[in-house]
Amino acid sequence: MQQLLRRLFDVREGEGSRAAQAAVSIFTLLAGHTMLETARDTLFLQRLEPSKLTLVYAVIAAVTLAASPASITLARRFGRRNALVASLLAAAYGTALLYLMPLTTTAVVVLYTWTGLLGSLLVIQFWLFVSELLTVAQGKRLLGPIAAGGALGAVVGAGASALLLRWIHTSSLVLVAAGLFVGAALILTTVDSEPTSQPLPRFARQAQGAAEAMNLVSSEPYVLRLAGLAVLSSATLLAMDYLFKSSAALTVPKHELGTFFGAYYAALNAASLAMQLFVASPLIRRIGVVPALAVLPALQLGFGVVAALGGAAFGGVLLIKSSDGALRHSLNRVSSELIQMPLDASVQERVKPFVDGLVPRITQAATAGLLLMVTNAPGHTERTVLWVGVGLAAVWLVVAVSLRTPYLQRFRDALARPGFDHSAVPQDLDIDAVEAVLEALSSQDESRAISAMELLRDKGRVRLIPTLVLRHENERVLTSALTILAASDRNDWLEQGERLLTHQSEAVRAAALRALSLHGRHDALERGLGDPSPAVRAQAAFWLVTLEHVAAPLLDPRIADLLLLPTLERRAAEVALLSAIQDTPDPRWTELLLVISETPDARLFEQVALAMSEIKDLRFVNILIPRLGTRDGRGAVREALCALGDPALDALELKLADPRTPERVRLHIPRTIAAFKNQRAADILLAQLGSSERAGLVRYKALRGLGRIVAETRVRVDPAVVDRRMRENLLEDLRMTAIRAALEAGREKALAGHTSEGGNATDAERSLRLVLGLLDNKRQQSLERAFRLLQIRHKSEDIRSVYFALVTDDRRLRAHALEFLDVLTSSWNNDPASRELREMLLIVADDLSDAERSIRAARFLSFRPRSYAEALRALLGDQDEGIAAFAAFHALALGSTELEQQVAEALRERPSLNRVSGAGTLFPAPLELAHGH
Amino acid sequence: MATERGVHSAVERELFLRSMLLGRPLASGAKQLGRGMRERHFEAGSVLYEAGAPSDDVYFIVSGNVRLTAPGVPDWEFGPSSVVGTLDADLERPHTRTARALSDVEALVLNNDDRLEVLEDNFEQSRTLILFMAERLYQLTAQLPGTDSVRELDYASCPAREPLPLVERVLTLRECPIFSRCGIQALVSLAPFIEELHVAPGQTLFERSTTRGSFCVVASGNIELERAQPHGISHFGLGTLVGGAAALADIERDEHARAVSDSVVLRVRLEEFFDVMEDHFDLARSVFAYLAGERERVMNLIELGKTAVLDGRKLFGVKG
Repeated sequence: MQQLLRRLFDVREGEGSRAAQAAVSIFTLLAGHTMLETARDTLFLQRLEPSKLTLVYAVIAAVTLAASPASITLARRFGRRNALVASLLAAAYGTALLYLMPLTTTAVVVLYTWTGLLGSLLVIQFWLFVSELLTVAQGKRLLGPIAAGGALGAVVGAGASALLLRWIHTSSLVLVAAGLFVGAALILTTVDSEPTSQPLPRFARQAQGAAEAMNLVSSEPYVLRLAGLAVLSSATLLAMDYLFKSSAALTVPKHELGTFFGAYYAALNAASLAMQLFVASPLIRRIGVVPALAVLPALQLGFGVVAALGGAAFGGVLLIKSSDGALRHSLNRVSSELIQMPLDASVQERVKPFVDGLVPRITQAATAGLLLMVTNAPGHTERTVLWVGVGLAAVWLVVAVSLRTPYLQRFRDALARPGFDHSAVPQDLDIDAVEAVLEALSSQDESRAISAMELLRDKGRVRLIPTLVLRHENERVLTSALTILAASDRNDWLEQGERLLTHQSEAVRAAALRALSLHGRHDALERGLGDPSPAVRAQAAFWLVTLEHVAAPLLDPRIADLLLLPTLERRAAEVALLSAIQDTPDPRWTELLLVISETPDARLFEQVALAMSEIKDLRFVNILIPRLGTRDGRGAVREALCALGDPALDALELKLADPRTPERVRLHIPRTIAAFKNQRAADILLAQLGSSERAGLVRYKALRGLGRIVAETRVRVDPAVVDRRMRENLLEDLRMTAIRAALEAGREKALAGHTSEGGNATDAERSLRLVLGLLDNKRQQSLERAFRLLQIRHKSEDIRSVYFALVTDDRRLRAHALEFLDVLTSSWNNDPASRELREMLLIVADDLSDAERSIRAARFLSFRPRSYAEALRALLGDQDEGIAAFAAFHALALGSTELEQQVAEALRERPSLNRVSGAGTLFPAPLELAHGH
Repeated sequence: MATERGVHSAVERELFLRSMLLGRPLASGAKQLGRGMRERHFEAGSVLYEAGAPSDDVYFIVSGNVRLTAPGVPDWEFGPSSVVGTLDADLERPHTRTARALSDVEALVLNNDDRLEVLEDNFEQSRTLILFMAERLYQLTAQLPGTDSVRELDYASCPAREPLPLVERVLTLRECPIFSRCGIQALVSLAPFIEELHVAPGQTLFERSTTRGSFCVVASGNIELERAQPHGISHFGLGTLVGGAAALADIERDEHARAVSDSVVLRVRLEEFFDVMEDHFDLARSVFAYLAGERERVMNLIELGKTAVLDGRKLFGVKG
């Protein structure tokens, strides 16, 4: 039975008791309230005219309005469960007092109002509590069964009232209802109320009134839509209800009305219960929350039109009412609760009593007035009311359907991390900003001063840099200033610059010579050749050779002598030459670059690469690509390859495909290709994702690179290919999950006899730990890759935040992420492959145990291990040699004859498994089997 | 109370970011960092974050001073150009201290996941950061008072001299706090690059002049490390990093290490370590966490050391 219930309602580990307790609570609460309603209706109609009901409705609305803030305060101060328990106890106390009061007309009116108030507040408080208890993902599965408890409570309450009235007086029902309220309170105290939502911030715990709810409605478009939904549903259903009753009065003979209503309502209640139990939750899970919310208005509209076209015949009206009766308290109720779940806890507390309590009551009163006017108008027919209802249903449907985008947005907001608002950075510097920058320029902190100059340069305001900066004491500030001024068209700094040619720092002298040369001041060049600093001499030689238009600078003695200097001095000269080449690139310097490019010094080669990116000779391509394997200077090498354009991209594509390319170089090719940031680069990387590439890491780098191109440019990526790659990764995740589940399930039995003694873990235990660790790594990799692909598929969404939410410990965030994915992928229904992909994605994202996840994924997996041995066998054959080798080691540690045979076979077939350790130390060599052969 | 600020201080933010990253590689990393940052203003006395709150964000202090407090531990103060909140974020735990603005504070707030994404995308920055943090730790420990106290030794028996199987290597690395937060895959990739050293009692593991470029993890036995300034002697056993987190610094350290008992030591060359780390970023995260924990411990010791004489084992975080 338990299994059946689990399968029927998808109740998961640890959820059953909570859901059952909540269902029993609402059952008891509504049974009590229905009894109270029965008593109040009977007593009211026995003592007062039905016309007085309109007055009581108004009083109830006013009292509800006044009581709502107190209810919110109670919930915030003591928690939602405690508030509900306290309210139930207060309800029981007040109800018992009413029972003890003499049954005067006033007492009956008070009883009526009290019952109406409890109907609003208790039910709202209960659903608020449930929304705290469940995440949105759980709500989609469990709200249906819980609400069914309420529906059943109403049926049982009504039936029990009829039965009890045979033996007790009507007023005694009031006392029984009070007892049931106490019972509901007691049941609630047993519910574990660990909230799923974040605790409210302190400022939000202060009491807020209905006025603030109104503010929220006007300021939050989502809340406004929820209020609109409440208005339209209440108005539509009331209009249709009026139509039904008036049509019944016209169609059914008066003496049969009682029987008709009794039988019809009984059938509707049964249908509602069946919907609640068997249809609501599965349907919501299948079609999603927003479409589920649109079902009732769609039926009201559809049946309304049918009825209108049929001349408002009673049959058509019955159809309208039937859809209301069957769905209002089941599917519509559950989806209405779910649609409120993305609201922040504090907002929800303020909004719910308003949207679910006050708005419907006021709407009902207003609609009743409107109907009164319509029905009193001359020449009105039932069709007039029907068309009013149809019109309202149409608007209701539109509002419901339009909720999809804002609903998705709520999850986006909940999952997203705020970023910096770049609009706050001024494109141009205003007077205040300039003041701040100039102040920074005079800072003693060299980094701050340099940053200020660079900021002015980047904003096109180099003119604002005072020439006095060239009197700064700091060497780095001086060289930076000279570099920035040299690149500008200003000449007012030249005098100050010449003064620096005799500066004590050789870096400053070299920078000054370079800056002055760039501005056509060559007087000091000859003198520079005699400078003790090789860097200054190199700058001077470069400019003299350039000015003299020497055809082969490498053969010029002024340059050749520099290359003959001792190592350290030669390096300084080479750096200066390379820097000068970057300033004034000329193809005549290509030979020099080719010579210096042979250096093993990665930092020096970085300068070579920067110079190469300026000269752009195609011979550089094959020199640059192997340098990608060296970390230092890799950025400059990438930049140079990008500068070389398509030929470099062609070469990179070939090298990527060539298995002879060293692994360390290949590893960095994808990111280099990504740096080209064009359509062809994206195509190469996308193709790489589906290649038979052995190294998963290269594919991973290709994926990251592709993700970056897609994020930063407008390239097109074939979604079908992305989907295929996503499917592969999701399948891999599910395959690893199935293997892990089998290992966990058989762990105890497999390790029997291999357990720790004296605190020392056995080889079997230790190696299993490693195998499980590797499995977890692989799962994490597959999941991350699948979400990177999803990000490429949905460029404008923040899928990264969704991924982070899914791997967090916060189950509320995980549920939000799941619901976001559910709504986002709801349009993946065009073909079976897309539907399957969506299903796999949701299984991977769902909060499930490994065992449960692997059962649900069974139909996608070609093989699902059923035992420990089967799981190890699957790992022995895994493409990943690391995991296969460790699985083999673990299998041997277990000492099973069967597994040893398998291991021996695996090692024969894949000798490379022995080399996983890099030194052949994973297995004893040669492998000696205790039981084999 | 914190308020979002507008255009005016955008210049300050820009200058701060540029200063912070000046001379460091990868301008793209700076851009990426800047994109994810939010600007916040905290009035004097207001709270940046409370102890117990999730450590989702790190705070780059542009101007002003911040004090971090918690009952029973010394206060820490940070000024402009500091980064606050990284210790807890790196250790993946809720904030352990409350951060309060001592004066008006301008801060740039960055989500820690975004920070790690930038570091992963720009590995050179991660490498620089790790080396910098380790070097800083080495300098911080120099502020600790000297000690001659010696821990009672546990003379573990020396294992047989055949090479350790890969599983043993991986498990030994797993025992080491520096690797405790990374995946097995990273350790499997690292294991083949490890050099296994068998050191006899009294034999030198490394001299003062040969500390650069590698670090050592004890697989068995005991290693004694003597530091000249401030003078201190510590012993390192199974799973510990000889010299603590500062051993990751690529500098010459004033230390001498020798075996006390027959010992097996796994030597990892820094560049190979970074090569593996570049491919397995979870290894970098694990190292960040380890360095953060060590930094916290040393900073507390510096405060405590003002009033108490330190035990040598505390200097390097040796348990016992």
